Amino acid sequence: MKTLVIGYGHSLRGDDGVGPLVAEQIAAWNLPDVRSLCVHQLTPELAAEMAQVEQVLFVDACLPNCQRQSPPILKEGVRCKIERLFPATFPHSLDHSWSSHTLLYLAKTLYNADPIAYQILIPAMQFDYGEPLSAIARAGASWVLGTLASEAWLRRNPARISGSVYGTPHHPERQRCMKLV
Amino acid sequence: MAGITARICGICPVSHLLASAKTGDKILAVKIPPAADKLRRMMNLAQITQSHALSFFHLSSPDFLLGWDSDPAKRNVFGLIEANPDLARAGIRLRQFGQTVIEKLGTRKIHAAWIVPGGVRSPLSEAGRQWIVERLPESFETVQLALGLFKHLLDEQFQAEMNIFGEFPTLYMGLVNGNGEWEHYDGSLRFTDSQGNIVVDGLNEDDYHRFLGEAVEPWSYLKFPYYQPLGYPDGIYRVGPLARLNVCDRIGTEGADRELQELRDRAGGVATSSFLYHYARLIEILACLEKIQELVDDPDVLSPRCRAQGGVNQLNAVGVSEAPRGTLFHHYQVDENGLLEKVNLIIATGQNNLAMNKTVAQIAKHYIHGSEIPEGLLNRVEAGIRCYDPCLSCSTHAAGQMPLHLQLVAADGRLLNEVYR
Repeated sequence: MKTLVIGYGHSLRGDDGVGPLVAEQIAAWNLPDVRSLCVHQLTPELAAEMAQVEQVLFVDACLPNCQRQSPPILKEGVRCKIERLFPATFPHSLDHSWSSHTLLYLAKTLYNADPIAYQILIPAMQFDYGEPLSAIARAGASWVLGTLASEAWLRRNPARISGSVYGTPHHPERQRCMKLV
Repeated sequence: MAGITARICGICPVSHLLASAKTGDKILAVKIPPAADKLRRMMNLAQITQSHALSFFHLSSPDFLLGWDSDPAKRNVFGLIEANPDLARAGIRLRQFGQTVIEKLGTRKIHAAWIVPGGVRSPLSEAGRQWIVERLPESFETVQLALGLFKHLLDEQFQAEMNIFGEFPTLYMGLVNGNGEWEHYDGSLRFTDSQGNIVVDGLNEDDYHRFLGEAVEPWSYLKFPYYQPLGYPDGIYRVGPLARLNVCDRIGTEGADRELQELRDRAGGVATSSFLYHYARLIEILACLEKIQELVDDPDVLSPRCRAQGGVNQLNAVGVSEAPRGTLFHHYQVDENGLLEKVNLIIATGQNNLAMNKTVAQIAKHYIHGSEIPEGLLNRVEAGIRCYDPCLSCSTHAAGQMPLHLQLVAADGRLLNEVYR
């Protein structure tokens, strides 16, 4: 297995379910060497699964203003983002959830594994109870699925990509600042 | 409803699934097949195992191994990895075991809508059964390793914490079976006190509103359930691993009963300190593994006759089960078409709310003298709450990071001091 996709979020809290939705669709593609998981939240045993692959893609919903490092937000305030992730430690307190950075750290320190990892953030606007996604999250999911299907992300030998990829679902032309290495 | 409520929580979805399906069984007025009873039990045992493993190995072990005066930036699983990487790995494997048993049964690790009103959707496969048999020995080794470690630390370091972290008399509530043994899925409710006396036994969940009250306070999103005959807040009671071990006469498996006896010997009878919740979790993991071992050898778990069918035959029903954190009630009222008209859930974390608050007060009274908040207090308050392994997403509908904010308030309401994390 080369690539692990982890879509996470609450599938009954509106746009928070966009990560699992994307992961579910990727799983349905039945791609060779790709495993796709839908999870409610990140938990430590995922590190053991991450240690088995070369690349991990975390797919999550994100409020537009959480993308602090990104270029200026477009008028709609909507943009998907794919960015490299690196291991890091963050102390946690009373909750049961973990971050993608901490799982990478776990994979590295416990299993001596250093998969290339990316965080795919899909803009999300509403988190009320219910399954339907907002139009923005739907468009974001569609952009991400299209990007993952058409680029090198899920192929047998995924290209290593540095920097970030930005996509604006409403616009056919994607903003890009991507470098293949 | 079973499919919806399972999504309340990412850690113990099976608990809600189970309580909801049991409520659904009553609405359908069906008796589920023996195979379904055993398969549901197996999934709940796996659920308790994986949840307790997360609590002990990855959330609480850093407290034990690194101490409460250590830097919070290091007193976490990463500090644990530095101190004892083998323990961290073993904890992950144990949690994986529980998660995979759930997956083998329900085809998914989370939100496995496999438990349904009337039974379960499918039996365990022979390949799944074989996988469980092969992985059980390693899981037994891990829990024995953890038990040895915890008992050693209890002897060497934790006598003070035993007396400060939630050491006070309360009632305890949990399910027991017809023989008074530890129960996690069915049976009846029993209350005991801190002397080990049975306060009331054989309670039926259908009557929960007669013996449980639910108070609310303006300063908390969490409900405050209490034992109604004693009123609020005197009717404080605890649920969860420690309570289950206190209310039962025995567990019913050899290894776990031996450990239970040792816990009672160490505690001098009833284990009244909430610090011992950690110990109780390990004993329960052992009990779960032993009971999974019994079930996996039972031919019924491979039987396809695992679901009863029925229509809406009752409009009001209450289901109960033991979640990892304690007794979980689901109460539904439906119309003639089975559409929900009213829902009430009583969550384990809520039932421990009074005890958690009392634990925080006990820790504060011990460490705070004057208006200074000593270094390390926040760590101890955090660890005091962690004894109960509260599930905040289940009990408060919280989202996002939980900040720790401790305020020291004078009797006249003046804010004397405060610290954050």
